[in-house]
Amino acid sequence: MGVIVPLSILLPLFFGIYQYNALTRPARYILLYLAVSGIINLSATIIGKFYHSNNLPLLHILTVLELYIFVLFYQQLLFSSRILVMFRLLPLVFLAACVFNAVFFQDIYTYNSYARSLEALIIMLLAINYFAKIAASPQGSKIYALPGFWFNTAAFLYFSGAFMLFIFSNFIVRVSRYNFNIIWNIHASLVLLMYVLFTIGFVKCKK
Amino acid sequence: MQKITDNIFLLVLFAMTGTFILATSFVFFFLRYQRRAQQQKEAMQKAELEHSENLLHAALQSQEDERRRIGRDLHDDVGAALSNLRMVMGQGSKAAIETDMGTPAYKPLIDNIITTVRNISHSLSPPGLELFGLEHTLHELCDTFNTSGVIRLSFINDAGSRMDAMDKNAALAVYRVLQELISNTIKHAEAKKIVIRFCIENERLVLVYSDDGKGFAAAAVKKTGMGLQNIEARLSMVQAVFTVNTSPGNGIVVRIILSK
Repeated sequence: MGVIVPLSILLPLFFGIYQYNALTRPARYILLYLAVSGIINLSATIIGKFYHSNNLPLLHILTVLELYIFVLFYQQLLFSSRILVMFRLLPLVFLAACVFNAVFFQDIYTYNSYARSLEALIIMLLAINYFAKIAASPQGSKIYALPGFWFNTAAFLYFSGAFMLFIFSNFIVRVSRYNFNIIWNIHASLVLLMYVLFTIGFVKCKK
Repeated sequence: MQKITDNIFLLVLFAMTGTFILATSFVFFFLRYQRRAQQQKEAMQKAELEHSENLLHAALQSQEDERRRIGRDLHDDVGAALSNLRMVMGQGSKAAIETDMGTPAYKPLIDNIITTVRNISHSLSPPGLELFGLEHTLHELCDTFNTSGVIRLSFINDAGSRMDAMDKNAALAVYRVLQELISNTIKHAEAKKIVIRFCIENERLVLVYSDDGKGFAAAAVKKTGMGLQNIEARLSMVQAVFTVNTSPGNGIVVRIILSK
């Protein structure tokens, strides 16, 4: 899991880059997310393995960027002038919350469980909103042809599954390192599932 | 301490699995709902398509019936009268051309042909409709049936001038629909009286047609075939809608909502 999952990001990245001209705008945000996430994960691995330093500050950065990119993604999928203000304010409010959290509660060398949980909650709500939007106009079997559906399902399943892990992560690591690794392997499976669904989404993008 | 660790680990594991299962079920039920909704939509579209095909078929059939009737009228009445006239004229002698009263024998034949042709052309396009409006034409229609003694027809206009302000196409459609309804009543209902009433309901012009015939089971309304489909086809062309209320032994009431 420790090698397969980080490398599995190459699968959606490959299809995303290969299909780049056919990608819709939301799909390009997903590709951007994969690129950012890939670079930060690679940097974290290098810092951890070769420099034996705490790489958690990168996770704090990834959390803010991840939410920002997903908000841009959902802004494209759910666009309506009524909620435009919310989309503009959300990343700023979240950034403020993350800084506040890092300064007062979980410093940058600690796992930012509050921020990660809040981020998962926001993305889950946005994903449900997208489901509600497409439920209003039944697409039948055409739904499988929508790249947005695959990206949204991927994000929804990953953040729902990982939500509890984000909440209890700090607690588990304190009581059992072994169990912590098992749970992070389960998390890795969720990440793998998300990457596979992202790949399907990219494949579904047609000119 | 170990015991607490295991419990927490299991709890987190269960919580993660639980939320993941919840999310997966949500997606699964969402997809199932989508498929059902799509199936329903397709079934509705199919039914609508079938219905419009039936309406088109009814319109074409009514056109064919009309042509057949005109052909029959021309052949049986005009054709026969012209053959008769030809025979009379062909005899050539004065005795054959003149009756005992001294009037020309061909004259009533020609009058008969003129009347027949007029009747056919009136049934094709009621001339009074354009010249005098729907109200006048319906009065004439009632007079024709009342003098024939086949049935008693009453016409009431509670809509005032709104009736004659109707669009030309709508007026013609109403006239044709009334012809169809009257013909159905005479053919099938064994009715003694028909009432045609125009009124205003919620700013809309409404036509209520009723007879005191034997009526029919409400379930059979959709199966009554071409007649009602014809009416629907004509009314749908002028954006009018209609409802039929009937039951065995209680006659029929047809409400046609004509305009906003």
